Amino acid sequence: MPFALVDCNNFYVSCEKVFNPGLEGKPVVVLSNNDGCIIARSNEAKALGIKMGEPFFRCREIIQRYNVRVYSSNFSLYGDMSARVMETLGLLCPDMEIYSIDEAFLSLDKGIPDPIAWGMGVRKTVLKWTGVPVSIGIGPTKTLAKVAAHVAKAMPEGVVYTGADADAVLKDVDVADVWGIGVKYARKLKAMGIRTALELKDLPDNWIKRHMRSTGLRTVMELKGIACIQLGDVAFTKKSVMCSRSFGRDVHDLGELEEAVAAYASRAAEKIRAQGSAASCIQIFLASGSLRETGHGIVSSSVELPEATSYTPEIIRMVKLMVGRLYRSGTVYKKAGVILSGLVDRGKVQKSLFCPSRETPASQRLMETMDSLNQRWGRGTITFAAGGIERPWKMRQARRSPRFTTSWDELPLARAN
Amino acid sequence: MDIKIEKFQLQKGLQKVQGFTEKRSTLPILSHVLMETNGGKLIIKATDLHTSVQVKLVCEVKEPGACTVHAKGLLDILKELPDGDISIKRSDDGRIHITLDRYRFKLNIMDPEEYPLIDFSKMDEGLIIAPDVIKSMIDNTFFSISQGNGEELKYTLEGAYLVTGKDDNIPYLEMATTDAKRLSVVRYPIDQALDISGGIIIPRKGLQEIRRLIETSDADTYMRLSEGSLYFVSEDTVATIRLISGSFPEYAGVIKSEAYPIKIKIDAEELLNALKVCSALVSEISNSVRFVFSDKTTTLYAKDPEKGDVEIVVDSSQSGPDVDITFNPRYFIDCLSMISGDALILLKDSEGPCLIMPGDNSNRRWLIMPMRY
Repeated sequence: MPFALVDCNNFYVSCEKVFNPGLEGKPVVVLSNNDGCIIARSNEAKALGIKMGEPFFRCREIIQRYNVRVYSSNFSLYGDMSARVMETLGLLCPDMEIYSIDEAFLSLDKGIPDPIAWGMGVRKTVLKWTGVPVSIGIGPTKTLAKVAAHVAKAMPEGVVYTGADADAVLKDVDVADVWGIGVKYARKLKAMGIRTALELKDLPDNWIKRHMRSTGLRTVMELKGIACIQLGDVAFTKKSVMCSRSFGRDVHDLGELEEAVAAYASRAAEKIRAQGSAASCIQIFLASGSLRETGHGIVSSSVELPEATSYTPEIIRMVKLMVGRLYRSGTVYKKAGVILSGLVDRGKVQKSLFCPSRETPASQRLMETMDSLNQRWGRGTITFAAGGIERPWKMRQARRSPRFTTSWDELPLARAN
Repeated sequence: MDIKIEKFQLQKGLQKVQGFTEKRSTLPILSHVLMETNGGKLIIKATDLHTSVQVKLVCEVKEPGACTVHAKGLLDILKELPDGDISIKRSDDGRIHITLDRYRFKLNIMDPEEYPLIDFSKMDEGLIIAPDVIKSMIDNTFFSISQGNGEELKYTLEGAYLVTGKDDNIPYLEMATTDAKRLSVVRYPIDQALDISGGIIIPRKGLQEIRRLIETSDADTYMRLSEGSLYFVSEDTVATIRLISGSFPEYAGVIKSEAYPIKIKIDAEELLNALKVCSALVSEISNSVRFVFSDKTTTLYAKDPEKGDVEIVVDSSQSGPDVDITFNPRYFIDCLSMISGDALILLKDSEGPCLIMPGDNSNRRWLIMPMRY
């Protein structure tokens, strides 16, 4: 049964272009949290030599010289656009696995007559319904589909099928670009003179198993067209969830620090509820100074809960206690984070002998109501006051485009004379 | 110091004491053992400042003296050596020279004067308890000692709570452990009265080491419990655990069988086997088995979305209404493993705790909290 990988082209930039068609043909970049680094580039920006992950300050000159449009990351918009793309794909092919915010694997019918034509049809529909251009790779295995999608990105038609002659495609693919070959293995393989995906595919199985273990062998089998990795039929559940951000400005005050950590805790709690989990362990960290400064450092604290919870007020109560313990007056804090781990099924939480459960049916309904309100009317519609109202510490997003699809106040306006 | 000792004897002695050393301490000397001569004997001592041990080994003493040597380092070497007489000599270069046939080692040592003082002077005071009783108490309760940091709890749960009392004027010794999700309590009648009615905590590591000593020791051994320490005494070995004070939750009320209106009688081994089967199909994230207790049967359900599901029916007899309740199977397996014959399972309802005890002995009780479903 063939697989298809649908990959959104320059996804964050494409989302910006949907609501600002004037960006078409122009160099555009999107910055990471706190406007630190380049995390997405249009093809025009790539052509100017702007590198992925490059710090913004380092390419400021090129950006000014070529009038590159710069956007702060707008994850509300990207998340919503991703949901639209995935919904569209789900309608076209229900057997789907969402792999990341901008990628999905589809399992195709065995007897599909013309995979390329099918791919072109999907591409056209997604573009028409969502405005997001995609590339599609089709192959007998997930790894070959991924290789095909990588090649398709550079092709105007945007669809590649590695069915009949995968070798013709694999010979031009860098071994480091093969799905499942990490930086370490790529370096090792290149040092041994194995540079392309085809060269990797042709290595003896014994050699692969000895040097790259069974996961490496699985990748090579997949390159040979033997499907070893099936479409995920079980929803992927994270084992821990982290929410961390750099502050938009230095934070000295305990109140502000508590507020920021409570806001991150609130977001992390929302995430674990979304996957039906409860946390048995809460960890926080506070980073002070920057790496270039003396006196920088990270302090952390963790606590094991008597009973796993996903109840935001309880998590906020615990993180505030921890912040109070870690806080040192006179320290300049730059970043903080909350990690919820020891995740268990929210519906089957081990009760404690000594601590009465803080999660009651009423508290669970409260969380469900908050989550559904925020889902329907946009994130932050209803929040805990402990996370702050003004949030002066919030990260810099000076160049963020409006949240066109998730905030009533920021809907695009259509004017007619 | 210059001695000659049979390699096998030295290895056996070191194996006995090695667990008492402290591997991760900030005090490097605690990872060492103190070896000193006394008459025609070699005495090896080890301590982590809370649990201490000494063993006496027969040896030929050519020159009396003492040294401290890294316990694991020396033991690793001994394990690889052939049998024979080993010669250990302390030299002036601050090392010991170990010789056996053609094998010659020089090991760094630390100043024996720096080794913490280990006090066994009160080993003749207090209540004598048969080692078997202590071993049984540990076996029945050890699994529910807390492994977490318990930072947010006001109780000391990283050990076993030991308390004395009287039941119908018969004095008893009781051991209780809990990890806040379950509680194990075992009680034994004692001959002499000893007043530790306020309770005392035996640290987890001490219990583990004492149990190991009991298991490997000869018949002529006894335990002594005083207010501050628990001693293990045999012909060649003395060990002590410093007992710590700490608060333990009040549990007497929750283990009273009268508080549980629903009673189920079931064959412990049959239920244990069924639970072991269920455990193979319990998902890592939910880690739960659903129990449906009814008039004549107990039905177990387990499910792993990735593997499949299982349903097992076990015969049982019950008084009270049907109950549908979910537990961590590990907790049930741990206590059912300690029961032979029938087990009594007592419940309040489908959300409250569950009390388990052997059908013929109410001196051992285990309380398990269910899952919130």
